[in-house]
Amino acid sequence: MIPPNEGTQERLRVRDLCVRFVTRERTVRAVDGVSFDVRPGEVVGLVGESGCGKSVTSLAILGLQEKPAGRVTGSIRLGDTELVGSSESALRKIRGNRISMIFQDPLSSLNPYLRIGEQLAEVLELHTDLRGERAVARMLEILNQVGIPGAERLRAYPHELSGGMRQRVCIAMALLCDPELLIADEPTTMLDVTIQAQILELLRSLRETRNTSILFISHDLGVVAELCDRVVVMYAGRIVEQAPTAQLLHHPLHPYTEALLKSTPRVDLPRGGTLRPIAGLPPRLPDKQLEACAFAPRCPRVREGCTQGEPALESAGPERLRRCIAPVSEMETPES
Amino acid sequence: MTPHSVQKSPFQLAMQRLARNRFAVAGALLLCAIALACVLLPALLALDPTTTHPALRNLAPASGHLFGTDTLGRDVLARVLVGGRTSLLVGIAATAVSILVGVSYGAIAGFYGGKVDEAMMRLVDFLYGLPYMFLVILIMLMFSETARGDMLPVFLALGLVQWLTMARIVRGQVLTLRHQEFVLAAELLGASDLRILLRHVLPNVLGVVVVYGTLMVPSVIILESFLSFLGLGVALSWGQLVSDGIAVVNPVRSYWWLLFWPSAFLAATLLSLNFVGDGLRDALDPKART
Repeated sequence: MIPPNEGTQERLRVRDLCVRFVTRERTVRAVDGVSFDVRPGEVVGLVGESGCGKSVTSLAILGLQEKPAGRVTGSIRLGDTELVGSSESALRKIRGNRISMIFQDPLSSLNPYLRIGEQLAEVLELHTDLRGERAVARMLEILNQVGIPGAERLRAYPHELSGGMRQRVCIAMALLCDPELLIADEPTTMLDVTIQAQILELLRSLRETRNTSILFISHDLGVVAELCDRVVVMYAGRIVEQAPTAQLLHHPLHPYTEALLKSTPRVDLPRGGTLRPIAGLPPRLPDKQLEACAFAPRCPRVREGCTQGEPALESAGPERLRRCIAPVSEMETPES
Repeated sequence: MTPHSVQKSPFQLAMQRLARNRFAVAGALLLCAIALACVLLPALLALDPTTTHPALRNLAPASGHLFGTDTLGRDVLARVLVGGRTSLLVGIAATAVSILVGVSYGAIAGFYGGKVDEAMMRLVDFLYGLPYMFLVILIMLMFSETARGDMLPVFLALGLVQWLTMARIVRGQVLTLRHQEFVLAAELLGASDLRILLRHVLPNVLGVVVVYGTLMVPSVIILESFLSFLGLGVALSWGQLVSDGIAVVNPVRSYWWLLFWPSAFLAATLLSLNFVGDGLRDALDPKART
């Protein structure tokens, strides 16, 4: 269960993270035993279908799981700070300051009644002592960096900006305090492809100029391929595979990753192949140890051993982890 | 959106739309005229609503007394204007009380949700179940000895009855806003609950509150008139004047002006308020653009 690269200087260190939602009717274990690291300046992709626990994981990092039903256990360390179990006021000082987040829908993540300048100023009010002209100077500097020049934009309302502009504003807001970690929850899904490319370019340059670590959540492997250094694949609240991006894309080990790849259009493979959707849905997540591989019911490579206890997450080469007893062999290339 | 358009807030845009609604503008103007007349005219024209003139009883409208005089020889114009002060004041003050109570109550219930919401809204349901007139009469009677002639009990009684619907509306709105991404975004920028509520949630509820408040004023005025009509009023108001006017209507001789003027003012005010309220509702509709 111990991931490699133990001992290097991580920026975010998640260990054995469990998020359970306890309601009167039932308890759901949405995230189960998730461990991963994000190093300084590294972009880590977190991929999986809807309902695999990606967003729950990211909200748990910020201490924003649904309350009071959500229970978080395990360890999340940001630098030297342990976040699990921290007080609400301590977390409030970290949110927006050391960890920021951007969302899928840039319109609904901006308050329609506040000018852009007012929303940006709020972040500075909460976390810095920059006020007045110095605050404006800082806002303009950031807006300039995310590609929105001109002071008049500070007086604009969200409805006056295009989708790409709004996402830039959201990114600017997230960057005002120079966070160590930026969590991006499918930030490009709602944008058209040209704008998508611009936003990805922006994120890439951020990592280079500011050494910001990015946790990039997506179900779009195409986008992940462009941006991420390493990818963590989640299924049913657990990690099923972890690998450097190129290796993952060309030699997936877990059948789920393979299935995800087959359901994604590729430009690097010959045309004419059909996209194969993964049949079925992710399972409901009970609050107990699984008795079989969670993916077994949908797995094309399922065999007898798959239903005899849950496979462990094992090392499969440098920087690689997989949770499968019958992995896709290295010899096979993913057919188109 | 042209690049040269002056940046306007959603609220300013709504006001622009309102200004294009003729009925709403006419209603607002008429309302202002009535309010100004009620406040300023009695003093400017040295009108006296209380002095009786036994020699001048039941005069039809004429140049000396534009609206005529009542059975005790008091000037009806003066009484209608001064009565209007009470009616308008009650309408506004009771609405303010109910907004204050209803918005804070509904906002807290909606924001915290879960058990807090459950408990708070069950109380509202319970109060809804009580006959409101009964409540109002009870509150008024409770104060009748200690605060005779004081209008505060009326404000409180009516406001405390009217806040229930406001609380429900605000709670529903806050409940949906609570899960909007910008509220979550504010939360993960490190804003506290109070700050999120005051700065991000409530401004977005304001439109609904304004509309509903505008439509609540006439219903409160009617309620007050009804109370006065029943003899539970505390001061000279339109409701009381209508009640007095009806008392003297008889088949032999009808002093129509005693009933007509207060009724006309009451109706004009209610109609204007409804036009303004409807106009606001259309203008603040988030789906309406331009």
